Amino acid sequence: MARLQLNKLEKIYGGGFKAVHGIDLDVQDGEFMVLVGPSGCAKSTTLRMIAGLEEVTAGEIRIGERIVNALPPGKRRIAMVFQNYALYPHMKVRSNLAFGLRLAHVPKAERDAAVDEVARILEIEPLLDRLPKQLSGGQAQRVALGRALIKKPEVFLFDEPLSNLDAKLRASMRVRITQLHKRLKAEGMSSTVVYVTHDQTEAMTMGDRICVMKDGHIMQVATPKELYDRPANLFVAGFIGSPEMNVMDGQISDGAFHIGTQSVALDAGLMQRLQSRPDQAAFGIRPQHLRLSGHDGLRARLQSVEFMGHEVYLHAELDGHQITSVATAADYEAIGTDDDAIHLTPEPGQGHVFDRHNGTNVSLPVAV
Amino acid sequence: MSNLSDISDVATTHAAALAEARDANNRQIRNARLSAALRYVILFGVGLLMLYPLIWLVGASFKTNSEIFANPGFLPNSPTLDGYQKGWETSTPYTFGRFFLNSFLIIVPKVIGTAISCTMVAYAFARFDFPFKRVLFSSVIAILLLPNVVTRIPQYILFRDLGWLDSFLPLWVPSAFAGDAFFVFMLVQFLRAIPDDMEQAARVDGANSWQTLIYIVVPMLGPALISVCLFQFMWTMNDFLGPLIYLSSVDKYPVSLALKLSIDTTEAFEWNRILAMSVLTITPALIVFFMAQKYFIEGISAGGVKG
Repeated sequence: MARLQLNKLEKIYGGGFKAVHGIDLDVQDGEFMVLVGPSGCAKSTTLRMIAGLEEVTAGEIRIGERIVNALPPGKRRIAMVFQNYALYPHMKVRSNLAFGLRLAHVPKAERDAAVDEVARILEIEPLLDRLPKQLSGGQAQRVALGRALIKKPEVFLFDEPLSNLDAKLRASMRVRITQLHKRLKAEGMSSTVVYVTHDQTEAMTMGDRICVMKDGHIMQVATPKELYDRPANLFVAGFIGSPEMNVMDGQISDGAFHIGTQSVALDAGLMQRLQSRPDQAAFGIRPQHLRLSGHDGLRARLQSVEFMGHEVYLHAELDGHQITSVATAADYEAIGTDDDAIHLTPEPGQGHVFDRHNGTNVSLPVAV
Repeated sequence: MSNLSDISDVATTHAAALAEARDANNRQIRNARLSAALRYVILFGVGLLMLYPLIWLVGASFKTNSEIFANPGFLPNSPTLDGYQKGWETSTPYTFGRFFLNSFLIIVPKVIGTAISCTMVAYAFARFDFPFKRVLFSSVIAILLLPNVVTRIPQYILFRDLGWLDSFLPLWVPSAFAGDAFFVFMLVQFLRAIPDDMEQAARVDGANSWQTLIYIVVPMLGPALISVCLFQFMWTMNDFLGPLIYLSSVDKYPVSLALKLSIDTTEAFEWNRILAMSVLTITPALIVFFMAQKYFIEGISAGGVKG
């Protein structure tokens, strides 16, 4: 069992700067948890506190039943993969992999067997006698992964491990890591993962659950689908999903949302779910749910069109708001635009209402 | 017809342009060669000028004492090993071999002590936070700027009170406690240029600070450590004042003092012996330098360049 719990975890730096504001996070045994957020949101600091590389100011970190706050990194039964691989430059790949075991006084025969097994899993057998500088980025990353794997840790920590790779390699490593996680889980090995990234694609594709952070606070912890469908606040709504969710300011009255002189009818379900009626509200709708329609719906002025192949991104201006709609290429061809004016209709049941004061989504179902 | 003549005109102009371009290229190549030749002549000339005393020293060590003053060229008329044979025997009961041994007895512990102590101190300054770190590091830098002579007298009194006079201890001990601020500074700068990710990875792998230092930091410090050892080797080999102050018995003299010995004790200086022994004295430093030259340059340049 290796459940990881953060209780009221806090980090204040020497200069008095508070980086992490008492966060609570519960990562289940075998779960792939992704910490995601813009730079400076303290996701890496949080990870480094879990690793023991950064001192904890307050709160506790629990791995399984143990409180590990006071333990050095080597005694926490964790393994970490660093952004720039951090392979020992003077050691061959084999020694790099075995270094942790060597420090733990594991007999040589056992060490060699473990190295061979990990090398087989990660397909790095031909690289074992090379030095790190003779490896390509992808190979080095696999060795770094192997160095984590060989320790059979309770918790794996990844610190933006793919950000130094090119796009294609990143996509394949993403799949590899996910498959590896599934395999470990299937074999009944400890496979709790905390994975830090700033890339929402990585977060959405890899995570069992995602923890979105901002300025040292947790914004929302949920499954990728949940985050996408039911963002808890404006920040999550804007951060997750591409292109970004459209947000338009306005007021609610008579079952409709008024944006300037135009209005969107709010469906009964959404009206029912409204927890409050903020006087300064924002209506949020994903570009994919803002349909290009013939003549009815919201009127907007088309500014630019991005052709993406099977779909088209329409960038338009609506009452001072920059909005985007994703239409199929066929729809765009069929409907067309005249005089730069387009009409957009929100899909019923897909809109969100946010309170502008604190950014909360007030249209979430009460029991999530 | 007019068309044909046009074409031939064009062809002529074309050929002319090509010829012109070829001429220009040739001129350029000629100029480049000329300037290269000039450059090398100047470099060779200046290099020779700077090396001439050394070349003359080697030549003169094979001359007889009288020829040194009679013949200004560096090639001896009748080469002789007399200077080496007599010089090696010295005017003392000991041969020059004894002085070489003494030199190495001073150098080896000093170099080892320097390497170990400076690495530890630099590691602490570069990687750990501890109380008064800034003040302490500032004082290291201040020591760097302090002229050596200022500390000579207090040091002498200290070592006299400890009863260490006429032993190698005053020469060893300060270095074994990272007394050479320059080396500490050099290693700190070098360490700062190395990202600490590898060390953090080692910590996660279960290494404590000492294991991290020995298995990870020291191997990465390699080039810088070689420079430190080399500098210390050469400076100690050439050090005259230190042994002069602290060593009084001839049987403990290193080569630097022994050379002076042959000037003192004879009324008419046997210059050929002195020069022959000077050649032998600089030989170890030269050999070591050329062997480690590659790492040496890497070590002193990397600290500043990497970032």
